[in-house]
Amino acid sequence: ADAVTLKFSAVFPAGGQQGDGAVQLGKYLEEYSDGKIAFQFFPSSQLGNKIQSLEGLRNGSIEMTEAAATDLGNFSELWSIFALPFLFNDGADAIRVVSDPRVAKILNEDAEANGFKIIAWWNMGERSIINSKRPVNSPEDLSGIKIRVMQSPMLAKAITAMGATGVPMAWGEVYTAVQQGVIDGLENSPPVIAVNKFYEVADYYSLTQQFIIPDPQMISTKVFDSLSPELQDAVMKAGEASQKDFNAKWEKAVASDIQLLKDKGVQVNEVDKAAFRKAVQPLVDEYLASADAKTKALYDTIVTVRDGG
Amino acid sequence: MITGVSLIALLFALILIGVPVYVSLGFAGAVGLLVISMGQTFGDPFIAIPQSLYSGIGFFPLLAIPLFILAGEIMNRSGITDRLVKFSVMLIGRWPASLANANILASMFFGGITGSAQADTSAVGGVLIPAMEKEGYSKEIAVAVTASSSTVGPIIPPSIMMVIYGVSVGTSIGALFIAGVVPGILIGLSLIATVLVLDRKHKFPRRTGSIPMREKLTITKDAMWPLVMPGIIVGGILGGVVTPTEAGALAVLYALIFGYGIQRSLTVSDLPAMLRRTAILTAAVMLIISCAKILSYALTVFQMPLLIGAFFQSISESPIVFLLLVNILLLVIGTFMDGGASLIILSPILAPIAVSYGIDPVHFGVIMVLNLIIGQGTPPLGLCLFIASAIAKLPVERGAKAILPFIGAEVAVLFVVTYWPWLALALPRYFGFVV
Amino acid sequence: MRPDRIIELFEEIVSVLTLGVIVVLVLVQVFFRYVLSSGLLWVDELVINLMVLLVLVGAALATRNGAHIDLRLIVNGLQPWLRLVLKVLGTLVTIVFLLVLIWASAGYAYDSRNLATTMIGIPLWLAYGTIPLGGVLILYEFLKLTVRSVRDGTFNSDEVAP
Ligand code: NA
Ligand code: NA
Repeated sequence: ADAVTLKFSAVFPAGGQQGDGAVQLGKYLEEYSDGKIAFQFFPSSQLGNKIQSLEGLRNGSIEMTEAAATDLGNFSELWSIFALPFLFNDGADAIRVVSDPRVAKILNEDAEANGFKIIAWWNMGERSIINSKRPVNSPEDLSGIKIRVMQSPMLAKAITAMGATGVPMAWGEVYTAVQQGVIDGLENSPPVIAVNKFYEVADYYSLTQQFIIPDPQMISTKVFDSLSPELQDAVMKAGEASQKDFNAKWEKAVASDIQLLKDKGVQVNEVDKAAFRKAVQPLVDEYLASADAKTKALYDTIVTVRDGG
Repeated sequence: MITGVSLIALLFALILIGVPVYVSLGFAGAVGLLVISMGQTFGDPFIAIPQSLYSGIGFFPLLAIPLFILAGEIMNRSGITDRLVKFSVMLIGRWPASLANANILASMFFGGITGSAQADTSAVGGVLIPAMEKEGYSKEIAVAVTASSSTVGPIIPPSIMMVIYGVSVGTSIGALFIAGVVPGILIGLSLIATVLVLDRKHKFPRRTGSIPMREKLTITKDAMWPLVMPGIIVGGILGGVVTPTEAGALAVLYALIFGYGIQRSLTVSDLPAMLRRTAILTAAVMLIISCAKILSYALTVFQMPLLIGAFFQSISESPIVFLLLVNILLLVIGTFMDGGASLIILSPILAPIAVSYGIDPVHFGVIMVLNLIIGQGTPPLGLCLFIASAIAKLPVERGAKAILPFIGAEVAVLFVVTYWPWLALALPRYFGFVV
Repeated sequence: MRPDRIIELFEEIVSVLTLGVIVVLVLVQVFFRYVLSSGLLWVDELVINLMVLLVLVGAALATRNGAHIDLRLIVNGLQPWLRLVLKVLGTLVTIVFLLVLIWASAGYAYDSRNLATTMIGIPLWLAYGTIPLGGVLILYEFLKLTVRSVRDGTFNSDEVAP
């Protein structure tokens, strides 16, 4: 029989950490299935943005995609939990927690009910603030600094609660906006800051590490369920291999990209996060107070696993 | 590959038999989805139709399109055309072929206010075609000068086409706007040069009278208000005060202040009429680009971007050859296809290839837009030529013949800009938009 | 009032109001950013959904006003019988496309009936539903123009519709 073709739709470009990760995932899929799976990688939103790709998975018209855990919040409230600031200690910790059977059970069940079968988790690191004004050590330092925020209520509100002025802006305009002084900075992980050359327009990268949002790699449940047990097994094995491979490379990339930022003249500083945690705590409390029972149960489980329970 | 090429052939066939461009794009795309649904599929590929429409329209940076159309519409209705034409006539003075050159200059000024070539053709052409005929120019020359010069509109900022390219490639729209300034001026100068060369043979009418100093002052003063607007747009973006979308909103505000406050030529009842016309123009443009996304989706599933990339690589590894091929391809496509649709379908395919050849994506955007707008002045689908011919009541074929030397001049500028990237990139580099 | 006039009024009012609101919202956003040094988080999401409404309903108005771009030059130069064949073909292609558009987008809106946008929670059936709504209006306008042109004998004329 012909090989099963799996289209992998991504918003990130070919090349770079994620692009290479997708290509490697494809190699694993082809290898573990003895060539019975043909992998096609569509980078740079060629087949659509994140929401379209996820809708494609639900529908079955697109077989595979990757997204931030928060993106699944468009389909189920549960996932908005990943927008909570300082939820994990760091990116590697997040991967450990979501891979723990207790947490994984809740997440997988919910994802599969919505049409997504998670086959791997990629560590996307910690998102920190880079700006052109001054090093940030405390919430007071962020006062009056305009930081680009994403189109998500919690992600946006948290930046404001941390003391900055949150300005929503399309990603494509951010570089020019910082360069021209329309805004003072943004928040993202070291590899993203480095590859987009933000070191040319902003000099202070403060390791505030407010958001830690891992990316699930997913296959459509419609597709997965129609595969033979042997191919299903190959897909899960490929996912496992991809998670291990990508996360090891990611850790190295973060270290070398922080060094790169320093080499480019960016002042990188460690931050005592206590004051920032305190500043956003009311937001977290408010979120949990209004969250449904399922979300609260997930939060409790995450906290238990995170704190070594 | 065969499926992809067949879909493009179907698209051209539909356009050529007179099917509306948006339907041609959407139908060819839907046929592609049908083919996909007959192969290996786990779901319903037709979901790509509503997805393409929703995401093809609902994307924040695209808001710049209705805003710039509306600003142009308000300025137009406030009577700026007359002011800009008078100012241009005054500046050209007693040059040879005075009115033809004033026509070109007026379009360059006008281009700083509208983002669309067609708006320029109807506005400036509406005033200057009859005026040129009255002075003794042939209808052919009046049409040729008007149609060719109005194509500077989408090169000089603001520009709807630059917005579409920027959005589909993910390049800074501000950088693209700024990169268009010098090539736009060069196109204008090349057209003036063409008029002057033709004048040696044809001896076009030349103005003799002079304008009294007092009147010159009034004309200049009157023209200043409309001429400040491009300053707000370009200056606002260069100075880092606004994003291109915000510049569009400010342009609307400025136009309203001008029309209602300064000029006082607009009434309250003009407002819904201007909004209505803008809504229609916006819908026509954006329905085309969002339907183009349907076809683009199908072509992507058929792996066309990869295949075309491999095709170019197999021909030559030289960027010079690549750019030559792209220019020829786009000049041909520009004569058949709507510019916005061409950008939606082709720029995601061609821009990454261009980058792999070491070409700057902003430079490549200027090249693509230049190519595609040149086609607006030529048949078969040359809207500027159609509009200008309609104003002059001249058969399109006769206008098409007269426009050839002007198209030649534009193609010459295109090649200079293609092979001398500095012309496009110097300004954005100086202001830090391009690294 | 005639039903057609009511439809026209609906298209005009929706287009004009939507565009007006979009302009005001973007200006308010600029004001917030520069004068008050902050941003309104809900504006972007509302504005892009209004854009979809504007374009789909505006497209019906554009159909009514013959403002969609097409290329008649080549067809007009052909023999009348061939022109008629192509015109019928083109009309069928348009109808088929619009029907597919309405069907596919209605299904899309229906499938998303339990979901909402993230910032302000616009129900997706409403946000996506503007697409089939616009499709139906465009189809109505197109059929009306076609029937009218058949009746008054201008269906195959080389005159461009006003
Ligand atoms: Na322009
Ligand atoms: Na002109």
